[in-house]
Amino acid sequence: MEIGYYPGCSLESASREFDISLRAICGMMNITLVEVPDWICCGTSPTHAVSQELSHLLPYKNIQKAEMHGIKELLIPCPSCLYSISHTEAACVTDANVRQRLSEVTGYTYEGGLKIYHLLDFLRDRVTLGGLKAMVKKPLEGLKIASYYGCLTRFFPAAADDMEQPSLLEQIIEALGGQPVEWTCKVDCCGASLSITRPDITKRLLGEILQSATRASADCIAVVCPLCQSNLDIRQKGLTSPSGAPYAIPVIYLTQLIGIALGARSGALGMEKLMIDAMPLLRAKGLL
Amino acid sequence: MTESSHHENIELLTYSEVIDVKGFVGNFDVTIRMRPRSVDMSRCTGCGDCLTKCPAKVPSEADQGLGTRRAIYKPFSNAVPNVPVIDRDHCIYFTKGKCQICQKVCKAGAINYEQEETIRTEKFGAIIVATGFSLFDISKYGEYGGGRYKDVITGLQLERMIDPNGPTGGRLVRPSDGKPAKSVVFVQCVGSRDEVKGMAYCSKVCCMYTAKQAILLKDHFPETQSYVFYIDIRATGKNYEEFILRAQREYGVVYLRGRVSKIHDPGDKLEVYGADTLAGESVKINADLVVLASAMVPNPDARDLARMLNIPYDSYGFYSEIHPKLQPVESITRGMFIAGACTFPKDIPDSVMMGSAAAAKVCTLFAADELTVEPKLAEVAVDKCVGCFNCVDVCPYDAIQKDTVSGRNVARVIQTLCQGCGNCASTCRSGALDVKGFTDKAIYAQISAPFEADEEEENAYAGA
Amino acid sequence: MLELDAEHVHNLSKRVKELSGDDVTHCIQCGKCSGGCTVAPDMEEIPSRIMRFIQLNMKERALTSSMVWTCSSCLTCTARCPEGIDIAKVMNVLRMMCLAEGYTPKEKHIHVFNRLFIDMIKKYGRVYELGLMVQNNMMAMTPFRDIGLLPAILKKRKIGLLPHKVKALGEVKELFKKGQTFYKRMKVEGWK
Repeated sequence: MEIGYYPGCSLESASREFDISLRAICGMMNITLVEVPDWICCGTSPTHAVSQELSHLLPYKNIQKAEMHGIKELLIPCPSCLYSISHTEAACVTDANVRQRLSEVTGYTYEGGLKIYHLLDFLRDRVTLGGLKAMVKKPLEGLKIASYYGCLTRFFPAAADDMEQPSLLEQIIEALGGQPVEWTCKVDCCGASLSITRPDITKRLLGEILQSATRASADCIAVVCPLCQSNLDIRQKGLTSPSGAPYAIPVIYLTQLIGIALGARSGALGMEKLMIDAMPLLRAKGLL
Repeated sequence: MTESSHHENIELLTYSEVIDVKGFVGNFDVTIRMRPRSVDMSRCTGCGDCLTKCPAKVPSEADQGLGTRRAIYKPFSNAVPNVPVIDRDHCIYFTKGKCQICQKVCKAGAINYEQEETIRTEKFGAIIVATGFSLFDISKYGEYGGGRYKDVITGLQLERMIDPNGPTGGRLVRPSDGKPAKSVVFVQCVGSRDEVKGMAYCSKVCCMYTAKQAILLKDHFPETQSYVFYIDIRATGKNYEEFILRAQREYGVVYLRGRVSKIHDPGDKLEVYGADTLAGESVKINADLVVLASAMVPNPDARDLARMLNIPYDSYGFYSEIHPKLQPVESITRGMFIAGACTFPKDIPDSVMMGSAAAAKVCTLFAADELTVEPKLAEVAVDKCVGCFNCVDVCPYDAIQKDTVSGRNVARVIQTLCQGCGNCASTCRSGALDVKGFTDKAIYAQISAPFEADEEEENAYAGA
Repeated sequence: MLELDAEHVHNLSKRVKELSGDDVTHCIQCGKCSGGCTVAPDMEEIPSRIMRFIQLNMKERALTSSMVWTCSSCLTCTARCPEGIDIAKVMNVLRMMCLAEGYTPKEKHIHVFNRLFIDMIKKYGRVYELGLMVQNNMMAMTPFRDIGLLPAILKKRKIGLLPHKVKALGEVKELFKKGQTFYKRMKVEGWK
């Protein structure tokens, strides 16, 4: 299977392990990722805050680059990029003014028809849960996992069952043989966008998320967003539970967990790049 | 209920449903399906022995799932008639072929597994539809747990809980662990005043029953503290506003003006996140129990029933009256009346008023020797009618029947049903149908009149 | 004191509707957005009050509130609004209006961060996180913020030392030029 791929800035720098592990599992599943050539930043929330025009132009340019490369289906693992790009894609289809203005500026007219996937949708609709289960070599037995969707994933078909209590990530974890825990913060915002400008707010939010995961006795948190991962992973140090104990909960990309279950080497999944070392946990569970 | 069951002019048909209605005012042919109760009503003494011995336990509908009932059961303790029914879907004998304990313990020999459904058709002069309402399904609110948090209950569940004969024996406990609830949060407008997930309308009764419940909790369990999240307090009945004030002033109920955004269930106390827009602050309350005031909504089968009875309904499925102010209990079908919450959310006083009004309307109808009808009725010119019967299809009142006059098929208007809407007249291709007083000829004449006048005036000017 | 006159009372809500497509007059002030707001517990204002300011044409109060800038764009309010108002989008529109109308953003450093972010896209076509962090700290006059995290981050090679530049940088610059970026265009005409 071949699928277009838009990594986005985070997967190229601070969240390289997301990109590495995604490429690794796609290789194992016989999926060829066709990267959008010379893609540019989607603009994400800062452009939405200063210019509506720019917030459409940057995603549009990427849609143009993808289409010109013959991409019909596009996987965007970063929910922020996905939100920007699918927002513009939808606006082009529904709003003639937007479509006209964008083709005027770029000289390219998008006619609609590009299928855009969230990682979870892609796994469910293209790989299928059964297909995934069949490929598992090392079930994540005994691994208690808090499934963290973050704030944006709920807006995609991945959470179509219930945007407040989605269950697809849990279903995938179960297919991998892991044990999803019941916890309270799965769609709450981690405050990543404020981590530089208002770290006080981010700290409070991280504290709530980590406390909830700890109360649910989760061994680790599974994530599908590079911003959530960086925020929870890098800024966990120094945060303590109400009783004063420092937190040290590994925050692992779903793609890494899939890689482990499919039997990949940890080095091939970028596990060493996680700030909170997940190796001791995985070794203790006999998964490495 | 008990009184009406003993009245000589009233026959109660329980465990039965109307499956077809034909005819018209004074002459309704109603077909009723009487479902098999599996208990002989003429023999049962209502002793209740079977109710305690039946081994099959099922979540109780009347207790809103908080308690259980048996497979042979009465819907609730004061149910009329005082005769149980066997729920064949859960009865061990009906599902597995063995048991029959109820038959063994019944001293009156009233248990009859062989009973079969019976259908009867009878004539009635008038029909009052008072089919009530259902509650909004809270599973649509994932942010409130969507039904998966045990300690988030509905107002009706709390009502059952504080009943001394209810599933908890009147104790206020957390369904999750059975511990007493001290801090209780009431959430108003769940499913109502919500155009995205629920209904746009105000469910009307929640403000008052919530205040009542909060007062009762403080009365029965002085250690409880209640909080009510509301958007607006709608207390427009007699003494209603004073009642709300009593809850706040005498019973210390804390009212917070805002809607709850989410509830977390970390395992012990629930965390309720809301806002008080008057203080301009977001609010978090740790609660033992959360009570959702879920909206009153039409019954799931309200639309099917309305189609069978030929009653119009609104976009929600509530039944429509002819005129919301002047004819609130009449439906468009003469002799068919509507009352209570099947028309819109209503509290008890309003429902009683509507029921009484509908009954009085029926009495008025029956007291007269003759039926008075509006003069603007459709009329068939039999000589022009070609018998295509397009009019039959377009008549919303089923007022046109097929008839034969000297061997020819022609339409016939039932005068008691016709409301003079004119649908048939505009559909009739041969010009055989007209509404009295509004014939095509008369209407054309009215349209032409002003133009003719103009011509005359113009001529007058020309002559001057 | 708030003085209302028939001529202007709907001005702000109309302008917001033109720019975002959302009719804030539909807000019933239920406060559900405020109850679930990610940042409200740390703020003096709550989102439902901002909606009220719009309804009552209180332009200065709406445009100069720090809530408008601190909003984390998590869209929780949007997901739960019973009237279907995209509140997070309205917040973005207010940010743009704030700048277009010449008000000083209440949380200046957030605006500075946004500008740095966008400048970086303009310069490289992509965002270069380390540079962003350093520049932001310099601008915010907190050069040593998060300095403790750096050695570990660099050791894990989480953040690249050099920016990735896109090849067709000319195209990006073109977008910025033709697209009449930032808020300037808004003064001329608004479109969603």
